[in-house]
Amino acid sequence: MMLLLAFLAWALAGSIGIVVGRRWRWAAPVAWVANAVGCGLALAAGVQALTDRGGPVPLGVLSNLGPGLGSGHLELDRLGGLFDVIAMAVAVPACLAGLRSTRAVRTAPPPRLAAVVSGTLASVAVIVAADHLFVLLFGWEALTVCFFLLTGLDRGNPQAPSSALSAASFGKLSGAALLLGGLLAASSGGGFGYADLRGAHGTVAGVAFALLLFGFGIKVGVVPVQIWLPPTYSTAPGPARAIMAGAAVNVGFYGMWRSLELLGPAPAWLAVIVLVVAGITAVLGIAHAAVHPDARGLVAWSSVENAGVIGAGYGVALIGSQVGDERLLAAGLVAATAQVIAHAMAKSLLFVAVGELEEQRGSTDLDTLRDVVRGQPWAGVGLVVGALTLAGLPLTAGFASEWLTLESLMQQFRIDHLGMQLASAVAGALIALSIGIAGVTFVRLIALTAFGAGGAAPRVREPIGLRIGVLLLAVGCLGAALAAPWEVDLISAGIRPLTGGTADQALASRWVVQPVYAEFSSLSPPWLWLVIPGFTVALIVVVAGLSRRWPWRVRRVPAWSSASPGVDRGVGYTSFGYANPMRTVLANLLLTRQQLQEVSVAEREAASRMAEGGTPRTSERSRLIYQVDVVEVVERYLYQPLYAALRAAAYLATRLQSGRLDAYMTYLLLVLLAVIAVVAALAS
Amino acid sequence: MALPWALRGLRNGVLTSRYPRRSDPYFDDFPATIEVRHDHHPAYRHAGPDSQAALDALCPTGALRSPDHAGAGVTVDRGACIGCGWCVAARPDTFSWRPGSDTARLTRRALIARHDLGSAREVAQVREELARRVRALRRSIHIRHVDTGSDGSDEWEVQALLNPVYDVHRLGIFFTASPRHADILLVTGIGAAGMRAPLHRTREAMPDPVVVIAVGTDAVSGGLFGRGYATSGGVSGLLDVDVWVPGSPASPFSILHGILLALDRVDS
Amino acid sequence: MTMPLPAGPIGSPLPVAQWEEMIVRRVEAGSRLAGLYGTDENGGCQLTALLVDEHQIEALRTIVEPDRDGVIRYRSLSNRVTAAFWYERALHDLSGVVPEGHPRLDPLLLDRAGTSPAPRPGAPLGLAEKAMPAVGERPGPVDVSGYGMFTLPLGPVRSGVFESIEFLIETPGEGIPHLNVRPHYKHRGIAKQFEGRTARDGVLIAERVEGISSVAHALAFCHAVEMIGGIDVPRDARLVRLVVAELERMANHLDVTMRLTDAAGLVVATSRFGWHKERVLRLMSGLCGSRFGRGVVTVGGLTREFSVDVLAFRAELTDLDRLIVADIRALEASASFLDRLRTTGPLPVNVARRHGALGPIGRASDVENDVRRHRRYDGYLDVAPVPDPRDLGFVPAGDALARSRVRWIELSTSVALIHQALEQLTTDAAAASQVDDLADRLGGDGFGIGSAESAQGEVIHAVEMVDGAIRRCFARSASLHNLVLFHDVFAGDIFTDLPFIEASFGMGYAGVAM
Repeated sequence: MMLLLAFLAWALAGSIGIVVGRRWRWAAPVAWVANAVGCGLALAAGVQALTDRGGPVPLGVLSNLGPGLGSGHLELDRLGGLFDVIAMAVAVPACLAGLRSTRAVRTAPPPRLAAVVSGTLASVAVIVAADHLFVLLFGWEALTVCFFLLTGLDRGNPQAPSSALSAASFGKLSGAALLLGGLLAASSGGGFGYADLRGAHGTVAGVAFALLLFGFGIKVGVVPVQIWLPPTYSTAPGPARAIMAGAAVNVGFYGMWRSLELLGPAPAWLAVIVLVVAGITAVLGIAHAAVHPDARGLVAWSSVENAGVIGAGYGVALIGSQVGDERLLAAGLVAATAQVIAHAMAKSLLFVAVGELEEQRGSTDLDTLRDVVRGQPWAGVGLVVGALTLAGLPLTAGFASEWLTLESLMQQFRIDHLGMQLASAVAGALIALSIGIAGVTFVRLIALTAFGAGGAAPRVREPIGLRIGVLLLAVGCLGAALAAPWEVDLISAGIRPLTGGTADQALASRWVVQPVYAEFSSLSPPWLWLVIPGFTVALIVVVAGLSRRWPWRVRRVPAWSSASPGVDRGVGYTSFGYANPMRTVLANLLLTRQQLQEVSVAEREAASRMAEGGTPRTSERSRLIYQVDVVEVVERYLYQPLYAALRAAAYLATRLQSGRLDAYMTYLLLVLLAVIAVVAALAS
Repeated sequence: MALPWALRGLRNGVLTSRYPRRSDPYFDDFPATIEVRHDHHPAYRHAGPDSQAALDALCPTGALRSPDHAGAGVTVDRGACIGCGWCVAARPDTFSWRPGSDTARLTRRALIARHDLGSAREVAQVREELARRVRALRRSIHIRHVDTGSDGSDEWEVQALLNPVYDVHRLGIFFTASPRHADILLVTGIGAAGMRAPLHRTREAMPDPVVVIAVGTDAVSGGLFGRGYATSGGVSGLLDVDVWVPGSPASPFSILHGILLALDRVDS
Repeated sequence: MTMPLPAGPIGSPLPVAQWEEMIVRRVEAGSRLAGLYGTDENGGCQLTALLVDEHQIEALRTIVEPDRDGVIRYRSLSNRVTAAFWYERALHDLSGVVPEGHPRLDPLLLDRAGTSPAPRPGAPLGLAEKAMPAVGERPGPVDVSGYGMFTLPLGPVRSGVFESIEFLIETPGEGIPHLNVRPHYKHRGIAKQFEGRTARDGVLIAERVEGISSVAHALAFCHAVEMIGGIDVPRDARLVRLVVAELERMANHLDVTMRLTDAAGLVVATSRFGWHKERVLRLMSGLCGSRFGRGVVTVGGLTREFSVDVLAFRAELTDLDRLIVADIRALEASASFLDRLRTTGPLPVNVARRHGALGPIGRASDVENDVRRHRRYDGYLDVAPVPDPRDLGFVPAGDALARSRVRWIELSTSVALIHQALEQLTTDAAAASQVDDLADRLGGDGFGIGSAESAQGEVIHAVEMVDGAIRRCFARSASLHNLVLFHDVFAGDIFTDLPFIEASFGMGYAGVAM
C-alpha cells in the first residue's frame, strides 16, 4: 500500500514537472518535494518488508502479463526491501538537496529534471519490487530511458549528446544481456516468475547467471563496461547525479544479489571471473579517480572503484555458495552489502556537495575549487565527510565495510579449490591496493579542495534543502559507524532469503562486529567512536595542561614558503600537481605521457624592449607549455578498435542503401528466397 | 651496502670534541681575534686624531680605536675586525693574535676589547634577561639559519657544527628547515638589501620567544662591507640581536660558543 | 717575469658595431666569452668583453653613449652569443645599460625596483652614494603554462644551512620541466666595494667575493695587479700559494661529496667526508691561521713569513689522503648512491661547449678549461703539469656522477701537487714577499686581467687602477658563469634529484650574486 502511495507521489511529481513545467514558479519545488515524499513512502514500504509486514501492490488486470508469461506482482520481499531501504534512504536527502528556487539554477530546467527523477525513482521501485523477470525488465528499460533523458537534459553541455548516447547504448546492452540470461534461465526453470527461475539448474543456469551478472554489472560500472559511467555521471545535471550514482545504482547490486538468490550456487569459474574482474575494476577505477582533474570525474571514477570493492565481497559470497559454506556466503554478502550502504550514502553526499559547488562556482575543476569550506560550509562538510567515508577512515561507515570486505577476502584459506583461492588472493591484493590509493585520492579532495588555502570564494547562502540533505547524509555516513551493530542487523534481515540466519553471526556480541567466522578478528566501530574522540580530547587537555596555556591561543602568520615573495600565479600545490606523483607511480596503468613544448610568441621581441625606468614587466608571456596526459586503457585498447570495426560495418551497411528501388526489390527477393529455403529445409 | 658503511663508521673511533665539558686544544689555540699587547707603541700612546689616523692606516675596517682621554689604551673592536692580521704584521709590538674561540658576547659593546665595569654590569643584566627567555627551551634547541649576504664561508662553518668533530646533536642542538619549529635565529651576512624582507618573513614565522644570534663580523657590523648601496652594515639594524659572534668567518667553535652562551650554558 | 703573460693585449675602444661583430666572429672561431661588464665613462658606459682563447684572455672594449632619453642602449649579443645571456642581465642591473632584443631582461643580480638608478660601477664614489638604488622585490616569473602547473619556490631561505638563492621550480608535481634561478637576494654590491681601495685592500675584498674560494679569487686579483705592475713572485711564495690553493680545492670537493652523500642519506659517509673536510680546514688554519686561507696571498707574493713543518704537514696529508681514497672507493661500491647520480642532471656536451662551461662541470661534459693547465701560474709552473682527467681514464659522461668523479680525481691530484710543492720548498719558511713600494710599482694607471682555477673553475679578475687605487674590478667567479647552465640540466629529473644536481654543481652563490 505504501509503495502504491509512493508511485502516486512520483506520478504527481512527474505530471507537475511535465505538464505545468515552467509556467508555474513553484513547479520544481513541489515536484522535488513530491519526489522526496515518494521516496519516504517507498522507504517505509521497505521497512515494512524487512519486518514482514509488507504486502503486494494491487495491480488489478495489469498483473496478467499475457499468454505464456504468467502473472507478475509488485511486492517487496526482504531482499527487495533491503535495497529499497538503501536506495530510498539516500534518495530522500538527494531530492531535498535538489530543492531550490527555480531562478537560482544554472544547469538544467528543474521542473522537467524533477519529472525524470521521479521516473527514475519509480523504475528503481519497480525493479526491487518485481517478482517476475519481465516486470524487472520493464523497470530496467524504463531506468535506461530515464538515464538517457537525465544525461541529455542539459542541452547546453556539449558532452550531453555523446554521453546520453553511451548511457542509452550500454543500458540497452545490459537490457539485452538480462533478457538473454532470463530466457536461458526460464528455458531451464520453466517460467519467468522468480519462483520458476529458482528451478533452473546445470550449465544453462550457470551461463544465465553469468549473463545476468554481466547485465547488472554494466549498471554498476565494472571493467570493461565501465566506460559509459564516468561521462554519464559527469554530464548529468547536478541534482540528478546523486540520484543516479547514489540511489539508482543500487538496483545493479540488487540484481546481482537477486541473481544469486535465484540461480545460485554459482559455478566456480564464475566466482573466479567475478573476483578477478572486481579487483581490476577497483584498481582501474581508483587510479583514474586519483588523477582526475575534475571533481565530477573523480567522484564518478570512485563509483567504478566501489563497484570493484563491492564485487569482491560478492565474489567471496559466490565462492561460499559454490562450496556450500553458509558462513563464507554470509561473510561476503554482509561485507558487500555494508559497502553498498556506505557507498550509497557517501556517493550521494559527494555528488550533492559537488553539485552545489558547481552551482555556485560554475566549475568543478579541482584546480580552481579551493577552500570551499570557508565559502560554502555545508557543501564543504558534505565533501569532507563523503571523502572520509569513501577513503574508509574510522568513524565513518566506510571503515567497517572496507574492513569487512578485506576480512572476507582473507577467508580464502578455508576453501580447497586452488583457482578460487588464487582469485581471492589476487582480488584481496588489488582491493587493498585500491583502498590505499583511495586514501591519497580523497586526501586531495579534503586537503586541497575543502581546506586548501587560496581561491576561497565569498561566503554564499546555501539553500535550506541542501543543508537538510547534507545533514542527513553526513549523519548517515558517521552514524552508520556508531550504529554498526544495527546496520548488521538490517543487512542480516535483508539477506535472510540467501543466507538464512547465518548472517546474524556477523555480530560477535551486541557491540562487536566480526566477519561471520568467530575467533578470526573483530572490530567495534561504536567503541572507536568513544575511544578516538576521547583520546583526542585527552591529548588536547594534556597538551594544554603541560604547556599551561590555551592551545588555541596562536599568532597567525602567512604560510611558510621559503620566505619567497612568490610568483604571479601564486605558489603551492595545485590539485593536479598533488596527483602527479600518482600519475608517475601508476604510469604503467595510466600510460602517462609528459611533454614540454616551446611556443613562439610574436611579441617576445617587442616585450623585451624595455625602456629604462619603465614599468617592470612582472612576467613575460609563457614560452613553454607542459602537458601531462593519461590514457584510459580500456577505451583505447578495447573500444577504439571496436569502434573502428563498428564504423566499418556501418560504412558497409550504408552501401546497401543505394537509394535505388530495384536494388531494394532485389534484397527483398533474396531474403524471401532464403526464408523459403530455410522453411523448406526444416519441413523436410 | 649499508653494513660496510656502518663498519666504516666505527673505524676511527670517537672523533668528537668534548667541549664544553672539557677543553679542546683547537678551541683554545685557534687565533680567532686580535688583542692589544700591553706595551703600547709610542705612536698610539696619546689620544688624538694623529694616532687614530695611524691606526686607520693599519686597519682596513677601522676596527682599531685610539686611546681616549679616560685613560684606556688602544682598543680593538672585534665586531669590526676581519682578522686580516695586518696590524699584527705591521706592529707586532702592539698587536697580537689572541688564541681562543670564546669570542661570542652578549652585547655589541662587549666586543670592543676593553675592561669596563659599566659594560660588565650591562652584560650581566642582558644575560639574566636572556636566561629567563631560554629557560623553557631546556636541552632541545632548534636553530633556523638565514644568510643575509654572507660570502659563503660562514655557511660552511655553521654547517661544520654537524660534522662528527663538533656534532652539536650531542648537546641537544638541531638545525631545522622550518622556522615554525625554531627557537634560535642564526643570522649570517651583511644584511643585504635583498634579504631584508625574507629575513623579516622568517622572523615573523618563528614562534616567540626567539633568540637571535649574529654570526660573523659581516653580520655584526658589515665588516669590510660596512658601507654600500646593498648592505645594512650588519643585521643589528634589522633585528634585535641577542648574541654577537665575531669572526670572518666565525669558526665553528666560536659559533658553538655563541649558541651555548645564548642558552646560558657557558661563561662569557 | 718567468710566467707567460696571463692575458693578451688590451685593445683600444672599438666602434660598437665593430665590437659586436668582432665578438660574434671570435666566438664563432672558437674563443669563449668569459665575461662582459660595463664601466661608467662620464655618463656613458665602456663595455668590456673578455674573450678567452687557449692561452690568453683578451679584452675587447667599446664605449656606448646614452640616447636622447638618457638611456644607454646597444644591440644585445645574447641571441648570437649564448654565454652573454646572464652577463647582459647583470650589465643591465648594475650599469643600467639596456641590451636591446635581450630575450629576458629580468633582474639577475640586483632588483632595482624598476625605477631606481643603477649603481654604475666605475663612476666616482660620491655619485653612487647620492643616488642609492632602492631594492625591490618582485614576484618570480612564470614561464611554463599548462594545466595544473604551479611554482614551487625553493629559497631564498632554504631548508638547511645554505646560502640564500631562490630556485623557482615550475612543475605539474614531481617532474621539473623548467626552473628559474634568482640569485639577487644576497647581492652585496661587490663591484662598488672594490672601488677606491688600494690594491692591498682589494685583495681582502677579492677573498670575500666567494668565501669558499677565497684563495683562488685572491690569486686572480693579485695576478691582475701583478700584471699591471710587472711584479714577479718569488718561487717559495709561488709554491705556498699553490699549497693553499690546492687545500682550498680539496675542502670544496670534499664539501660537494659530503652534500651528495647527505642527499643520498648515507649518514656515515656524510659524517666521514665532513670529518675529512674539517681536517683539511684545520690543515689550512695550522698553516696560516685562517681556515679559508685568508690573509695569505697578497700582491707580490705572501703577506708574511710562513714557516711550515713540512714533515708533519706531509704526514698528516698522507694519512688524510689514505682515508679519503678509501672512502671514495667505498662510495664507488655503493650502488644505491651511484644510481642516484648516474644520468642525473646531464649537461649535453654541445651546450657545455657553446657556453664554455668551467671547472669540473665543464670537464664532466668534455670541455677542458683548466687554468692550471692552459695558463699555468704560480707554483704550477714549478711542479709537474696538472693532468687532464681524461688521461687518467675518466669518461666525460656529463651527468652528476661524472661531475663527482672529476672532483674525486682532482682530490688525488691536489694531494700530489701539494706534496710536490712542499718538496720543492727551498727552506722551511717561505719569506714574506709583499711589495713594499707597491704604489710606485703600479705607477699611475693600468689595466690587468688575472685568472686562477678555483674548485668551481676559472676565476677572472679584470682590474683597472687609477692613481694607485682601484677604479673598477670585474670579479668573475666560475659560479656566475656556470650557474646559468642549471637551466639546461633538468632532463626528466624530479624533485628528489635536485639536491644531487645542485650539490654536483658545487657553486658558491655569493660569487654569483656579487
